[in-house]
Amino acid sequence: MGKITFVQACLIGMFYWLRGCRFGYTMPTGPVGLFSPLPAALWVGIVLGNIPEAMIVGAGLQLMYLGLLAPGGAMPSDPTLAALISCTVAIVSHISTGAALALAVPVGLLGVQIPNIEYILNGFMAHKTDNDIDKGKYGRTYIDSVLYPTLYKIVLYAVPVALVLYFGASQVGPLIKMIPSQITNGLNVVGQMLPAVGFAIIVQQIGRKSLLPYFLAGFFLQQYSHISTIAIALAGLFLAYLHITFTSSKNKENSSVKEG
Amino acid sequence: MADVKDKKEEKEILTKKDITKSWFLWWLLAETNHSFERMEGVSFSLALQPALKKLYKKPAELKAALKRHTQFFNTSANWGAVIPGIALAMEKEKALGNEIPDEAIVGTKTGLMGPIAGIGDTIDWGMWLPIILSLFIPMAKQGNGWAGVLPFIIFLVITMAESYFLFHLGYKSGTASVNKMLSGGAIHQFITGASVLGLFMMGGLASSYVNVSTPLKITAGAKVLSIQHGILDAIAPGILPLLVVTGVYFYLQKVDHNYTRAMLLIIAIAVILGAFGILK
Amino acid sequence: MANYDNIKLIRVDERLIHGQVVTQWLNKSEANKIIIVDQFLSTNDFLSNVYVMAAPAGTDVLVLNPEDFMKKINNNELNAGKYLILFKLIDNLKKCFDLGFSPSEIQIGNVGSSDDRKVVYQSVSLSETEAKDLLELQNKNIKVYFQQVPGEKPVDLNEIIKKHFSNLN
Repeated sequence: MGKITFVQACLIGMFYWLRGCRFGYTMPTGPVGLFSPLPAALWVGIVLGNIPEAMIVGAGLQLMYLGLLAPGGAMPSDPTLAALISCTVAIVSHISTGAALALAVPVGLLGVQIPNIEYILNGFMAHKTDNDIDKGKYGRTYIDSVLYPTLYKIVLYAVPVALVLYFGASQVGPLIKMIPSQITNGLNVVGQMLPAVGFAIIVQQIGRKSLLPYFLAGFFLQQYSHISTIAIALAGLFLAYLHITFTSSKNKENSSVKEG
Repeated sequence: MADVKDKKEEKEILTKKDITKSWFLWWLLAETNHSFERMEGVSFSLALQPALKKLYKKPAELKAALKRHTQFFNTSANWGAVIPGIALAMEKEKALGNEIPDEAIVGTKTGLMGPIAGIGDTIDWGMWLPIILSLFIPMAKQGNGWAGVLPFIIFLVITMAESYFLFHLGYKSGTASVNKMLSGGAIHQFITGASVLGLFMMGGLASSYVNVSTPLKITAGAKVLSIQHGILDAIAPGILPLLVVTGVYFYLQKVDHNYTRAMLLIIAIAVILGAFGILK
Repeated sequence: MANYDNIKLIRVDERLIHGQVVTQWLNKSEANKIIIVDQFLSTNDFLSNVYVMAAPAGTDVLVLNPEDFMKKINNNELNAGKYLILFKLIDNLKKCFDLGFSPSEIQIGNVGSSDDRKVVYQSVSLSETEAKDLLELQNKNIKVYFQQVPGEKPVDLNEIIKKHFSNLN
């Protein structure tokens, strides 16, 4: 049974803290940017010395959470936490990919609660910043709204993850061994089917029902020909161009009717 | 009326470097101290602060300007970078003595939040991301660590370029920049084309990565017919994976929009069908 | 008697046309036209145009002030489509209500915070005046509920009042 050292648990916890800092807009919450499942998996793989296994779980997770936008700001699940915990447990406890993906779902749900606490604290700092402006202490606004949050995020994000992984990651293994083999087969199927949720979500996000046949086209093209992703991308580009050309005569600008 | 001397002064008040500095602060800090009350608001002010300090020399005016920009603000910050650019352009006009009421600046800023976010979210997260990712998922499936880094570097470069360009555009052209972005329907056409590409690639990816099949066989005397190979594959390859994806899609459309419940349902179905050997 | 059949959803959303959110509600309500009712916007060409251009392709957008909107309602002029009615804030909604607006339900989706408002729902802040206005609507049999996106559970006005404005109960 694998082990995880305290240092390793802390390193993984720090990754979650960095993600909580949200520096640079392209690296924020959710399945996007530098703290997505894939980079999280890579980090876990580096820290624990097993990149390939981490990446395989990471790929499944990235697919599962593919379309997870936060329309209007409310994330239903936290892919970064899910990835950090699932990949670690997969490597340390030697659980299957399917089990790791299944584990991700409740973990992702829990992860949504932590930012809520953070946001309330940030609300206090916002008022303090307004006070700084009133008192003419402009430089202090950066300390109150950037430095302090960065510091208290260590407590909110890094510490829980480090503790949970240090004390819990290797405990999962013996538990899994107790599961009957049929359920284990079931978990393998889970590993294959959960990514389907991600695809369904992204198709829904892209939204346009009239364009759905293109999904089927790509699907069956790959089924019959097994061509590479690049080839599919090129074919897709060509189709997109054709589509725009053929529909542009039908497309009119939205009618602007303003009265009153 | 501005004469040549005034124009020269206008040009010097905020240099390109000043604008870039504000852009960088906006890119860096936009989401860092998100709160329910203000969201990206405080960071908006922090980003504009160095430039506003140059524009408003009187403390009362500076404080007023800084505080009107800590108020609630939320948008998709890459494409939304055009908004702080526009706000800065309007503040500059105001500081130079042109009649611009506070409400006009705040009203324009908050009025643009929604529409720009719609465009930004759709293009950045709904288009670039899935397309770039699907190019690198095969690598990840093979255990290659580069897939954890490359797609996101590419994504970072694209979005930083969008953000930089739009921030400067907002400052240079003011409110006219929005017309440049939206008029003619070109952007909607772009989104349509991107949607076609995205859906097509997602279809291809789904085909590679959802691998469910059934090990069930029908035995009739000495003959054994595999349902998967004999029946399903004969109709069309990949029927079962396709059924799973469309099943979840219709569940989300018609029954319940809750993603987590959909995932839990899939886990339950998969475990049961797998345990009974109906699927593998 | 004004006919509200073609109005599929009435929503208060400060961001009005905000990409994914509006797309989801258009899908859920099956509306294909949008009417924005707002006094300030009806006089601001620039912003009105922005909303028209930013709406999902193929969706017509009308920007009206409360009086003209109520004229259309009372003359039953809304029959060429299925409508999503958007209000930025509660003030214009109350204005229409005072002019006779009486749909069966109103959805409050998104109102930003300000000095005199407090956060009552994850995406909605209300001032006491606004809460009172909503109660007035409810007393005239208009169901008022809070919901951000279709995937979330709607919250009834009474719950919000009990928790945050108990003095108004």
